[in-house]
Amino acid sequence: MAKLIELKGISKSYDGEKVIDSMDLYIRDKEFITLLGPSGCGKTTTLRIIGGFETADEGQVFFDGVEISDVPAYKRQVNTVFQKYALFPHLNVYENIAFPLRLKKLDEEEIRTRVTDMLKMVALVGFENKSVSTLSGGQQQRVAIARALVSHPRVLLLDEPLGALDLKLRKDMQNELKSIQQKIGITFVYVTHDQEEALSMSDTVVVIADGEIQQIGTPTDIYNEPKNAFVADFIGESNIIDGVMLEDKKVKIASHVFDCVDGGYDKNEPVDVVIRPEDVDVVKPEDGMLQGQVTAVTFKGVHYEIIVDIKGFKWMIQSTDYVAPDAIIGIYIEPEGIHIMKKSKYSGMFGDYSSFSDEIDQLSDADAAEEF
Amino acid sequence: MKYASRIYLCLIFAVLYIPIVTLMLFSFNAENSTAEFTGFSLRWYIELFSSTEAFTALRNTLVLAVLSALLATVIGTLAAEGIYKMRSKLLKSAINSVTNIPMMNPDIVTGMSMMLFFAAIMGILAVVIPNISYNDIGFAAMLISHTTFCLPYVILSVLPRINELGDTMSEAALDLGCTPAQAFFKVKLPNIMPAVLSGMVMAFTLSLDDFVISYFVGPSNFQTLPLLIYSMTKKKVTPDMYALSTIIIVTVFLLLVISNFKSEKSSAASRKKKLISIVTISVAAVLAIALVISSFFIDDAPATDGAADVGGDVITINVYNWGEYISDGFDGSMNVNEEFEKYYFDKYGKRVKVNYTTYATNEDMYSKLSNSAVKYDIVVPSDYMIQKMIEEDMLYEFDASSLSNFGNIMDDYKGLYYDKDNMYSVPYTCGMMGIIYNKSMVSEEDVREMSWSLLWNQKYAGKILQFNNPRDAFATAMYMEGLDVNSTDPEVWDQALDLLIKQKPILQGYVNDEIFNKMTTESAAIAPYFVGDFLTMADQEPNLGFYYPKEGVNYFVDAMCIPKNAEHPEVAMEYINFMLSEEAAIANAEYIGYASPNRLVVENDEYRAYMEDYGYEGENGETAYDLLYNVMPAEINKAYNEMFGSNDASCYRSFSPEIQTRVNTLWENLKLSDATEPWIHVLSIGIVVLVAAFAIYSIYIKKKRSRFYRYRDRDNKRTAVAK
Repeated sequence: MAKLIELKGISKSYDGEKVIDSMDLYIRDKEFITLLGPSGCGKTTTLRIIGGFETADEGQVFFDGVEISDVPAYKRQVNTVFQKYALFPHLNVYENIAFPLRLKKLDEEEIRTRVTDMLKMVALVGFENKSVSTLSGGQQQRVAIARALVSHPRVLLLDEPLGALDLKLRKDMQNELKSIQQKIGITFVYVTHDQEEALSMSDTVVVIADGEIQQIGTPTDIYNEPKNAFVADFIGESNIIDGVMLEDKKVKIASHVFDCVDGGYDKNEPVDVVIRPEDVDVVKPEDGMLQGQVTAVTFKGVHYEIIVDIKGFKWMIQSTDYVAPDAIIGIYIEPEGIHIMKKSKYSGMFGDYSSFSDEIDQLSDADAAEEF
Repeated sequence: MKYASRIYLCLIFAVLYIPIVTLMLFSFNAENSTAEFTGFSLRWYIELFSSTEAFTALRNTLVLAVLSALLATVIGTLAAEGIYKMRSKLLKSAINSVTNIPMMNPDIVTGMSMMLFFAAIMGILAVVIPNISYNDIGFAAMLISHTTFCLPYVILSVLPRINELGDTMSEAALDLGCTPAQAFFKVKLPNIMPAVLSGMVMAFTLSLDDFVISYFVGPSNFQTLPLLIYSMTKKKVTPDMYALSTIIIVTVFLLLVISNFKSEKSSAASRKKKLISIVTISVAAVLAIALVISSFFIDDAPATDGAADVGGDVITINVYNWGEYISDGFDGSMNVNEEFEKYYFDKYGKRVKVNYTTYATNEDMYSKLSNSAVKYDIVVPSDYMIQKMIEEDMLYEFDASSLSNFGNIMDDYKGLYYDKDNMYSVPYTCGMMGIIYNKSMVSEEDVREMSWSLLWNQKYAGKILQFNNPRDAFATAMYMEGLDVNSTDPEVWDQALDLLIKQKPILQGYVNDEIFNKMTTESAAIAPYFVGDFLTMADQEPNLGFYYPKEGVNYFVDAMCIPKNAEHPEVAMEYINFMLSEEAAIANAEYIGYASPNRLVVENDEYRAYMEDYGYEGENGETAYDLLYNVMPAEINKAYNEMFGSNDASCYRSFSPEIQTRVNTLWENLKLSDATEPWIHVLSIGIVVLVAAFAIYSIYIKKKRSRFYRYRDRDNKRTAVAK
C-alpha cells in the first residue's frame, strides 16, 4: 500500500522540554494504525501535528507526497474525533453532523442524504432532533464519529476516543470502530495508552516512549518480538531478566542455562531476556529448571497470578493451578517462551515484580498526565 | 427553624423592596408631599409625559446606554478572546490586571481623568477645526467614556466562559473546515453567548446608572437622567421622577420575568404559564416602546412649533443654572426657556435652542467651568462666587445698563460690591437666611428672642439641624457672636469654631437638602435655611415658622453672568434681557419662591396677591410677600452696617486663598474631631483586629499544611526511587 502520510524528522518542544524527538513515521493508505504509549509520551502531539493543530519545530509532514507542514487544519483532508467529543452544544444531532457539509455549502438534499447515511452507520437514526447534551457518552461518541466522517476525509484521527467510556461500552465501540474502518476503507490513526485496545484493533502498532518510536509492527510482532525492555513491559506482562548469551540458542539466566530460539549475538553478550508469565509452567521443585519461594498469590478469574522469588528476582507467573504462599516451587520454560533482546537504555527499569503494585502504576500515570 | 428561615427571608425581601414600594406608592400621591399620602392620582404621570426635560434626559440615557453597551460588548468580547489566545502567562496576567484597574478605580477618578483627557483632545481639535465646541464632540466623549468603564465588566463576564470552553470546540470547528473566523462566529460565539449577553446587560445597567463619570464628562447639550435627578436635589425631587422611576422599575421587572420564562421554555410550560408570559411580554414591550417612542417624539415637539419652516442653522445657547431655578412649565406655569426661543425667533427670525442644565452648588459650577471643555453661555453664580470669577477673569464683560430691561432692576441691587459697575452680572434672585422652627415643638418664649442662639439651645438637643457647608455653618456662629463673616483674622474663625464644636453634641446632623424632609416630617424642630426654601416647606407643613435673627443674617444675590468663553454672548445678553421682562420674571419668582430684585415683579399686584395667598402666615399676620420683601427689617441691616461701617457686610465675600484653606481645615477638624463617637473607634479597631487575626490564622494553617506536603513529597520520591 502507498504511503499516505509521512513524518520526516519531526521534533517538538514545550517550554524547553522535548516532547517529540526527530521522529520518522509513515502511514499507509487505508490502514488502521495505532500510536501507543504512556501518558506524556508524545503520541497526542504527533496526532495534533498530523491534524494541523500544532506546528512541528523541526521536520516536515507530507500528505500523499505533498508537503503540508504549513497548511492550516481547516485545509487538510484529515478529520479528528476528539477525546472529549467536542460536539457543539448549541446544535442538535442533525446539525452537528451537517456542520461540515453546510460549510461546503452543499444543497439541502445532498446534506440530508449524507447525514442520514451517517446516522444509519452509527445507529443513531431517530436522534436527529435531540440536543447533544442529552445523549449518553457512547451516543455522543458516535455523533462525533459521524460528524468527522460525513465529509469523506481520507484520514480519520482518533485521540483516545474511548477513554471516557466504561469497559463494556469500550469493547463494543472497539468492534464498531474497526468495522466502520473496514466498511468505508479509509486510514484511521488511533491514539491510545491502552495496549489491549491497540492490539485488538490495529493493523499496525507504533509504540512511542519519551518522544521516540520504540517499535513499529503488527500486533503479533509487537507482542511476541518486543524490541526492548520498554516495549516488552508496556505490552502485556513480562518478566525481564538479565541474561548472558553463551552462544546461539543458549542463554544463561540466574546461573541456569536455558535453550532458546534466538541467535546472532556476540559470545557472552549481556542481554535482556523476556519471559511472559503465561509461558512459565509451575512444576515440582526437583523437576524445575529454577526453584523459588512463592511470595504472593492473587486470584484473577481465569488464572492465578503468582509472584515467585527466584534468587532475589521476583517473577510473575500465571497459572491455572493454585499454589500456596511460601511454598517452594520449580519452574519450567519451553525454548519458544524465551525471547532475547539487546540491552537498551530501558534495561533494568522494568520487568521486576518486587515492588509490583497496580496502585503505584496508576499513580505515576496520573502524575504524568497532569504534568503534560 | 422552619419559621426562623421564613422570617429571615421575609426580612431580606422587606429590606430590599420596602424603599422601592414606597417610591412607587408616592408616585401616585395626589400632593407633592413625601410625608403623607393624600390620595390616589395619576397627576405625576401626566406631568411626566408632558415634561420635555425628563424625556429628553430619558432618551439620552437610553441611547447612550444601548450604544455603549453594544460597543463595550463587541470590543470586550474580542478583547477577552485575544487575552485567552495570549501564549505568555505573564503577559496574560498583566493584561488581565490592567483591564481590571478601571473597575477597581473609584468612578470619580475615572471621571476626572476622562474629563482631563477630553479637555486635552479639545485643545488639539481646536487647532485643526477653529470653531469646534465641546458640544460637538460631547456625545462622542460620553460614548467613549461609558464604553471604557463598561469594558472591564464585559471582559470579566466573558473571559471565564472562554477559559471554560477551552480550545477543543474551536479546534473541532477548524478540523471540520471552518476558517478561524468562521470557527469563532459559528461555534465559539454561540457557546459563549450567555456570558456575552450578561456582560452586555451589566454594561447597559452600569451606563444607565452612571452619574459620576457623566457628571465630569457630560457636555451641556446632553443631559442624562441621573444628572437631571441629581440637579433637582437643590430643592426637591419632583414626584414626576417617582413616576418615571416606577415605570423603569416595572419595565425592568417585567423584562426579568420574561427572561426567566424564556429560560424555562424547554420544559413543558403549562398553558397558564404561557398565558402569563404572553401577557407580561406584551405589557413590557408596550411600556418599553412607549417610553422610547414618546421620548423621541417629545423632544421633537419644540422644534416643530414656531420656526419649523425656517431652514438654516439653529443657534444653541447653553444655560447652566441651579436645579429648580426656573419656571419650566411644570404644573401649568410658563416655560420660560421655550418662551425665549419663540421670542427670539419673532424678533430676529433666527432659531435658537436653549440647552438647559443644572448644578447644585456654586463650587460644582465653578469646577465644571474651570476644568472641563464645556462652554456655557449663561451661568448664575452667587455674589461671592461672582467676585471670585471676576478676579480670575472668567466672566465676559458687557455693559448691563445697555440692556433695555436693566432699568427694571431696583436701584438697591445695582452696583453691588462684587460688581460695582454692573459690567459682568445682572441680579436674578436674592434671599436671606433665617431660622425655621416647628411651632409645636419650640416654645414661644424661645422664638420671641429672635436669636441665632436658638441653634445652641440645649432644650432642643437632638432636634437641631446645621448647614453641611463651611461657609453657612460658620456664618450662623459668627452672626450670633457679632463677628465679621468675611473676616481675614484667623482668630475670629477659631472663635467661631469653638462655638460650632460646642453646638455639635446637640445637633441631629449636618444637612443640605435633607432639611426639606426633616422639617416637613417633624423629625427635626429647628434649622437655619433660606427664606425661599422655607416658603416651599411651609406650603407643605403649615406648622413651620420662620424668623430673621436679630443679630443679622446673610443676604445673598444670585446673578446671571456670561462666562468668558461663551460661544454666543450676544444671544446670552438677549436671554438675560428676556429674563428681566415682566412676564418671565414674575413666572420665575412665583415658581422659585425667592425674592426678586425686579421692580416689575415686586410692584405687580397679581404677583403680590399670589404671594400673599401662598399658604404662610406669620405670628403677626405677615404673608409670604412680607417675609420676602417687607419683614426683613431695615433696622437689622442698618445696625449691622453701623457695626462694621460698610454697606454690604452681611453679604459673603470671596475669601483669599489662605483664609479659604484655613476655613476648610477648621471645617474638617470640626467634622472629624471629638465628633466621632467612641463606638466608631471601637468598631474600626475591632475590624482591624479581626482581619489581622484571620490573616495570621490562615498563614498558620497554610504553613502547617505545607509541612505535611513536604513530608509527603519526600515519601513519594523515596517510593519512586525504590521502584
